[in-house]
Amino acid sequence: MKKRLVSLMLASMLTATLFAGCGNSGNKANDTTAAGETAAGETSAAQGTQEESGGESVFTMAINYMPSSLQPSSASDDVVMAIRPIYEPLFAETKDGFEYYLADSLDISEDGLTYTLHINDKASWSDGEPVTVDDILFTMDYTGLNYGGVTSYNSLNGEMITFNKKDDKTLEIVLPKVYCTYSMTLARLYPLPSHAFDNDPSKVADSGYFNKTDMVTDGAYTVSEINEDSLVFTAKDDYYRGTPSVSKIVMKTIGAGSTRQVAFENGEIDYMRISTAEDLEKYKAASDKYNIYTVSEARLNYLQLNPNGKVMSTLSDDARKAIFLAMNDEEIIDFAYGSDELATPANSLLTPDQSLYNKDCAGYSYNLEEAKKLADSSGLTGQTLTYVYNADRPNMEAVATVIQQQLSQIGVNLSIEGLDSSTFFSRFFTSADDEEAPTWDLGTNGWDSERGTHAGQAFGYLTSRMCDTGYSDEIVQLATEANSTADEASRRELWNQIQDKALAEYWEYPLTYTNYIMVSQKNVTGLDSSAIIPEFIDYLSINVE
Amino acid sequence: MWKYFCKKTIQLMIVMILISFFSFAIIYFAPGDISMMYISQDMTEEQKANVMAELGLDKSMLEQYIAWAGRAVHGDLGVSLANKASVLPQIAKRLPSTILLMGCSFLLSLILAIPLGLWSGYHKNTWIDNLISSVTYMGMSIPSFWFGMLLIILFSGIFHILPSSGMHTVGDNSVLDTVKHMIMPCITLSMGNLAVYIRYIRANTIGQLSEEYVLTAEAKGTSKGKILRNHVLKNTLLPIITLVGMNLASLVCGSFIIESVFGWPGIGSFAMEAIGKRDYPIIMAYVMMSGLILVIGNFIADILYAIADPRIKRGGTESGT
Repeated sequence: MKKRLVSLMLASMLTATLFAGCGNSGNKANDTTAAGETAAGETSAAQGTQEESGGESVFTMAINYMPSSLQPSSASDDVVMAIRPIYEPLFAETKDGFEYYLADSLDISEDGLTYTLHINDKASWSDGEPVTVDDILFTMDYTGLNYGGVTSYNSLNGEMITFNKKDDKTLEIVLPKVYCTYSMTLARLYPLPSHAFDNDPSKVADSGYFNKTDMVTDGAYTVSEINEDSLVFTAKDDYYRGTPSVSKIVMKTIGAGSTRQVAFENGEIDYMRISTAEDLEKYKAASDKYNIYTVSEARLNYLQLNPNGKVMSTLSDDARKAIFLAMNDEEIIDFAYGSDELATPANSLLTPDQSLYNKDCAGYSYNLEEAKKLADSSGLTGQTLTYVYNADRPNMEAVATVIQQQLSQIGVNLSIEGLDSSTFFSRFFTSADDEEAPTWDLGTNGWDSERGTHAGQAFGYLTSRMCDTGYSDEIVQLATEANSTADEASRRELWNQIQDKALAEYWEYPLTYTNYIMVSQKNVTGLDSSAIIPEFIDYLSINVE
Repeated sequence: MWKYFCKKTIQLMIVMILISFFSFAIIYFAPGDISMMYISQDMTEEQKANVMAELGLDKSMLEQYIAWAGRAVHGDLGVSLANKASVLPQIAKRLPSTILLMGCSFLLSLILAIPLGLWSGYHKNTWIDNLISSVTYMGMSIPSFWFGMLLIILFSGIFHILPSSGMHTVGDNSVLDTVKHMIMPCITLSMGNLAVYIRYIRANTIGQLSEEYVLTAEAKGTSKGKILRNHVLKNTLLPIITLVGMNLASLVCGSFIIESVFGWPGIGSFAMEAIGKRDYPIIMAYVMMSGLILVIGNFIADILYAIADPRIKRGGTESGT
């Protein structure tokens, strides 16, 4: 009898588990009348997910995982992508100047010290409250809670920045010194709704506010559903920049690897990224079913030689030169990317998306004979170097393999280590006194979002702010001076010098400028109108016919 | 029995302390930490130090462990370093999805394994036994991610009859829709378990069929079906109790690989994301939960064993064998 009871109990427990998760415990504001996703098997693959129900158009996109919160933040590309439809930055940067969103002007004084930011008069939260200067200051205060009060928003190298609220929509920011990359910091700010937290930043953490569908938003969409595996956003009627043509945005978690490709071809999602030449050719061949979009990723992939590396630190300038002369970037692109549509050879440490980029910068030229001579004379031949790369980034493994082959021609052995992002960054961004500094000799990394009218991340690396990059004091001083120069012509002249001189020191090899290629269903257009990655900063340009 | 229970409880506590300490040490010594998410090139050394202090990463491993353990014993598993939200509600939110998927796959494995294992053992060395054995060897050998992808390509990519990813169709909250989403991950997960269970049950069936009580039943004229159902089945299921206990942890901890391949919003993919970010409060909560349930599962299995088989009592001191 006892055994029967136990069996019954076990059976009941297992049956309970069967139904435990059946009910959708998703958080919904209202019923979704337009199904954002076409259940497989219910429609043909060709129809895609852009079904229209009651005149509503739906744009379905894949996300890697469900964000644990929709709190606006620029911490990771996945989060930025998920919040783009509902939260906006003040402005974005391009090489031609600012692309405005919540702000409608940012005037920088001639001396480069005073920034006057004006918020669009019509910009408002979804509950009707206007977006104001208070929201910006509130967001900066909230960020300060995580950083001991001092952040890159309110200080420059320890010197405090002054904020003067001129009126509800105008903020004057006075810098203690000229610092051209400060606009990059402001562009990363996504205002939080101060009124939703009674203007008290300490109420934001653990409030759960950004996990509920009634959160207020300042973007083109509001949140209508937060499900276990998907998010649904609905277009606002009174969005200050116009009315989006797509009524609903559905973001759905799609499995890794080829699952996404199957989901796309099955019509479950409207677009996906392409990162191999084979896929590019495949979808180009089916141009009657798909559209291909190419936008610059504003990314520089580069090879860094580690001045603190166990072997590298013992090598001479000639040895570094030998390594760079033995590398053939055309071959790297051919093998690792397979198409110059995915990546083009880089000639400078700045990208063509930066106004300071010098297209005449000579870059490095492949010269195997010279490389062999230098390798022999410098004692590089026969050495084994440790090469690290970020295995989470596309094409990096293939790049490592080609470089290994190329350096073997001058008698250099590479011991290659592919690392996950966390491990890679902790090893890559090191200074001389870090334990992990000697553990690698060379490695590949990328700087993304390298767009605007300043040098972006290149400035930080050339001045060894993130890690030791090996540059001489002259380069550090030139870069510091350039970033502190308000006059545009003088700044450009300085950066032209830096681009050439930095390469002459043989520490960083600019490898590739990469493109972000997307394939969409045929009835989806406008994905390239907003050419800022992570996608899509401007949903007004997207159409689902 | 009470003494046995107390002894097992004390063992459980010691194991949990050891699990928590060693997992904390592994995370602490693993390269990389979450501060990279918060540190930018514009920061001064002081600001970087503030970030580390705010995240609690400036303390020694022992200090961090004691602080974590002190909170954990009071039921506070901390706050995620990535999103500053409490860990427990985040886990609780994803738990039903994982229990549903893992429970169903577990159930499916058992339902299929019992008759197939019995049948295979009963028809030892016949073509049907060889066929079932071949399938089980395949099931044990095929990598689950590969099998999962195969199913996706077949049933989603080619036949378009099942959705490739996720748990629900947006706007459709019916049980049928969830079942459709669950079919492929469930089959993929069941394959491995099914193969193992069949092997166990087959081996036990063969052993039991040579016992004298089977001969006695046959001599009394009991039908073969009845012998299998009423006598052999009960005895062959004993090792399954152990397997059930060991599988209890996977029931709530999910599968990293399958949840990733099928985009299933469960605990496994959540933990994988946390590991990638080195978000130690979430990793610790996950490890402790899986460790606790694994130990409890074994504990329950031990107790059930003692109930189910009177020969196994109090550490074997009263063993009848």
